Amino acid sequence: MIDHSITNFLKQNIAGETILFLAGKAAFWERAATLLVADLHWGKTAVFRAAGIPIPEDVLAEDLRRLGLLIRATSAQRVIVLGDLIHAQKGLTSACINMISEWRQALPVRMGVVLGNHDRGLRRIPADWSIEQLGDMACEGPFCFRHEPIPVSNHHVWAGHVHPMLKLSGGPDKLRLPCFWLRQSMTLLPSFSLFTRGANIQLSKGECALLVHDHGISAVGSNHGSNVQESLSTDNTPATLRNDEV
Amino acid sequence: MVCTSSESALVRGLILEQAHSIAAWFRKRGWETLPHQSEAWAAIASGSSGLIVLPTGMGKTYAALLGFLPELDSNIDDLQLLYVTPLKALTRDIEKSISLAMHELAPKLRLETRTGDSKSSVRQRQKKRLPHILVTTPESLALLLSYEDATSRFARLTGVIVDEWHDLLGSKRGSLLELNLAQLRSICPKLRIWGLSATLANPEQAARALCGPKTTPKIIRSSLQRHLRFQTLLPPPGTNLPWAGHLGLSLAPHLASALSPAHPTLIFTNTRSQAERWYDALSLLMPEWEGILALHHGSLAPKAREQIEAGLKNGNIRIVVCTASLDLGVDYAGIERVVQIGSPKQLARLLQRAGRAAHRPEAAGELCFVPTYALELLEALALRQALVEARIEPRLPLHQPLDVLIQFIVSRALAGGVSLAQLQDELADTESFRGISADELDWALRFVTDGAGTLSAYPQYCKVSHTDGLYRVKDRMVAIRHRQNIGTITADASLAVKLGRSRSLGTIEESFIAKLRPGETFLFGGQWLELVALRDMSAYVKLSKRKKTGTIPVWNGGSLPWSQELSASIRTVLAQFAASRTFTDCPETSVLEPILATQARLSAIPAKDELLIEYSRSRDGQHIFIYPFAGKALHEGIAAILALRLSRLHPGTYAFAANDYGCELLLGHDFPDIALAWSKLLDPEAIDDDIEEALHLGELAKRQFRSIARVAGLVLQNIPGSSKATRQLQISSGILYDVFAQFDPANKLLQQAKSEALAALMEGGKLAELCRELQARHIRVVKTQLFTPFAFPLYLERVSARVSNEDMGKRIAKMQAQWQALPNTSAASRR
Repeated sequence: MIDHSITNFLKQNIAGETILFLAGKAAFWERAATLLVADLHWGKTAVFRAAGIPIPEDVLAEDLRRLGLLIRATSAQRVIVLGDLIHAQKGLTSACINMISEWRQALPVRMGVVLGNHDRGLRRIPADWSIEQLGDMACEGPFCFRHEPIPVSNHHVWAGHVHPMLKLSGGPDKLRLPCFWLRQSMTLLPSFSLFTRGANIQLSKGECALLVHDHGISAVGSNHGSNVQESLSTDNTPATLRNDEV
Repeated sequence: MVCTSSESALVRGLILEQAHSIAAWFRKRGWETLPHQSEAWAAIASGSSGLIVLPTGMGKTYAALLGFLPELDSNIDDLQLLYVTPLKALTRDIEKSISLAMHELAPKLRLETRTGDSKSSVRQRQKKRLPHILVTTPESLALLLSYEDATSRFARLTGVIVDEWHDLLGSKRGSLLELNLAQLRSICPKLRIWGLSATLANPEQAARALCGPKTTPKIIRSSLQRHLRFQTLLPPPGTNLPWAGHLGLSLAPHLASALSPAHPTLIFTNTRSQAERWYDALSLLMPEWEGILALHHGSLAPKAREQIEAGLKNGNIRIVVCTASLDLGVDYAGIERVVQIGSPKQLARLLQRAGRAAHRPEAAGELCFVPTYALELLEALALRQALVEARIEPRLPLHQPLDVLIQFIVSRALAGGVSLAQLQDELADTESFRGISADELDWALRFVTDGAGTLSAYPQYCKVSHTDGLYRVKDRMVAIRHRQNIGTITADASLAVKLGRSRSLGTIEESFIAKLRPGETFLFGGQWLELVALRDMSAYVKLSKRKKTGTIPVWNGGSLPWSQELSASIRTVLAQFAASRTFTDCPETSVLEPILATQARLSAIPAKDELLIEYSRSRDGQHIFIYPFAGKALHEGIAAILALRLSRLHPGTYAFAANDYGCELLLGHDFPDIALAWSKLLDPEAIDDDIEEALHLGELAKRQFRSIARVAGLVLQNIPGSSKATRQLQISSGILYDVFAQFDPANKLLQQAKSEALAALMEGGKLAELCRELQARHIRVVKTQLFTPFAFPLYLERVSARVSNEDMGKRIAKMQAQWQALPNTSAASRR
């Protein structure tokens, strides 16, 4: 529901390319006009409801709304999902499939998915979703897109799967937040869905975590990019620079 | 033998006959019938229900059992008597006691046990045919009562005996058992229910909760008194106690020399990790005790525990370091001494443990208190005083826990279906739920049928269906999952600790073992183990060659706060000292006086009408220590409110810590140097709103939601079927809480979490009362250079919670700055 900050971003250079890391848990590859997201887990709430655990349907609706908003705000031409598009086949009820189809038809953007462990149960991607199946891995320019964070020689890997979270503490304060994890030759995305949990990571020397939170996005660790939070406008006027010094 | 005139000749005849055979049997074994036993037998024979309240070791089991035994009919092939005990570990001994009596008095009856550990062959057999007498736990009873044919299987039940009712009462386990007992009463209207309980402050209410609010239960007490010798282990002359800490190991050599295998002893600690440490220390100090010294706690493998229990009984094991795992039940007649390490926090708990010594009627027990730090000696004085005055805490039944109700509704729907009217009748027959509003019940029913969403929809969700006036469960998997998760005991995910290929040493919490890497060592079950690998929900270990180094697991056990009765005693003791500057006539004085003198020199000892507040600066920032001496629960509440009110004066992040003595607030370095108006900060006005706001920020409700989500069946502890399906249904209660808070804020389980957190903090509205009382005290503010003896333990308490209204980016930047200031972390960011 909090929209004002999900289009806040930090600009970073990854393998020679400009990437906008968005507080809405997506990364935008500027030159290729491509939005990267990971771990959507569509149908997860339906899996729980079918098992007798009441999880509100609005979780999926909200996830879709946020993704649509990010696509429009970045004017992305293409979306690549880094695996775990769905949670389980049995969660894809007709209501769920239809909701996604409707959402998809309103967004004239190409969409592709590299397969994650949860997607293995997916028999076929519903045709109305117009989502291209990219196999286990897709490489383009300096990048390789895949679900699990396994290095690929001569490429910078973009992966999901881990749902990274970082714990911070200092003086009286403590926090645990989802993050982008910028590693040597590899970048891990936070899990996109609101209804997922995460795993704590430990930053090694030279690594950087971009933490996403209610007020935007903040870098900790060896940040080699910008520390100045900028924001995309959500009404398609040019991106404005905000003076959110972090 | 007492008989009232209203009893029929038949009943009287029965009682006489019964009394004769029992008396003969008792004589044969060299026992004497105690007055409360014959009183109980008469009451049971006359058709009453009731509660037998006695200190431990006074023959409660037979007082209830032998009242029923002669009535049971071996020709009726149905369950006739239930014996419910809170501990699985006790079932074996109870079975033994019962079969001993049965052998003599009713040899044809069948007796069986049913717990979560029962073999599947036993479960299968019991599914077809229940024994005449069943020994079981509340959870296994709830499971049996959830089967489709529960009504017919329990139709011939004549009696239920609930052991250690004081332990169940006041918990969710107790609430669920109340509901199950109401269900049983509706199946068998003449059912007699008898509880066995240790000494309680409120036996009438406890009896009503057990027997149902519509009956007039009999309460049977004994005039026999238990004698207790209480002494404190003081450090040897010339040595001191540490100022802070919970382990108390500095006294280990001294305790070791005071113990003797000639006098069998139980050493109680408050946590499993403390038990591990003490066992390790004692076995290093006393290598000659090998084989007679043992360790016992709830995480050890059942087999290891059984061996130790057997060793205690046959006298091979003489000294056992244990936790609450040996608090209840089993008779170890040979135990002569009980040692309590650190504060027992409650008078009732101390009495319960003391009762383990000389577990025989009218024998004196010997209790030795070992302080873990100097100030704890204040507690020794307070405990002794309270023992003299025979004061004890009441145990109150819970007020309508909604999560327990939801679980019960699903179980009832499974047990052949239930109508609204039937459900209402059963709820009205419990102390916990009789006042439930139609609105609450309606919500709970909708929650299991359609999700009860007000803002959000729950398509395809249906746990319980409502057709033709009956609530039923139709989905087979929902039924299986529900039955596998029955009960209210919440445990963290734990892994089996395995030595070699198959030998299981016990279980350990995932959160602990996940921090270890293969090759690292840890102390478990009294042995130093090296982690070899983690896989398949097991931690594979080998014995470590390197001794005495490594980590001690910390199991997440709730640490109890002082009870109100204990805090009151402490305040009295402290006020005595503040008035007279000495304690007369007590051995603890020599140790306690110097530390209180130091406190007085560095700061002050608060008089009865004073509230002491200390200001102190460190590299962490400005510390404020406040000492109401009212118990940890209330101090956490006070600290949360003060943190919130300070954050209104100056935005920032405030950490706070609390212990039983007081609380600490930690303000950042940027907090302005202003005079704080304590009387205003402690204002009881608007305290309810403030505590709610502080709670919201403090995430306490979210923590409370963990057990609620588990009990209400939202988070599954046990998931049957393939591991893939298991993973797909795993979710943390924290995410559930966030999702409900965002999409369905009217969910009543969120409200329950909030009110449970409030109750834990405010102890039933006591917080406002405390604020009022503190405001009335003279506030004495002292600036100290050093942390005082009062402050030091607080400073070392883990920082437990914080309140913040700062911008998130600022908080991260602050932490980042501190983090980067530390050596061995990555270089500062390049701007």
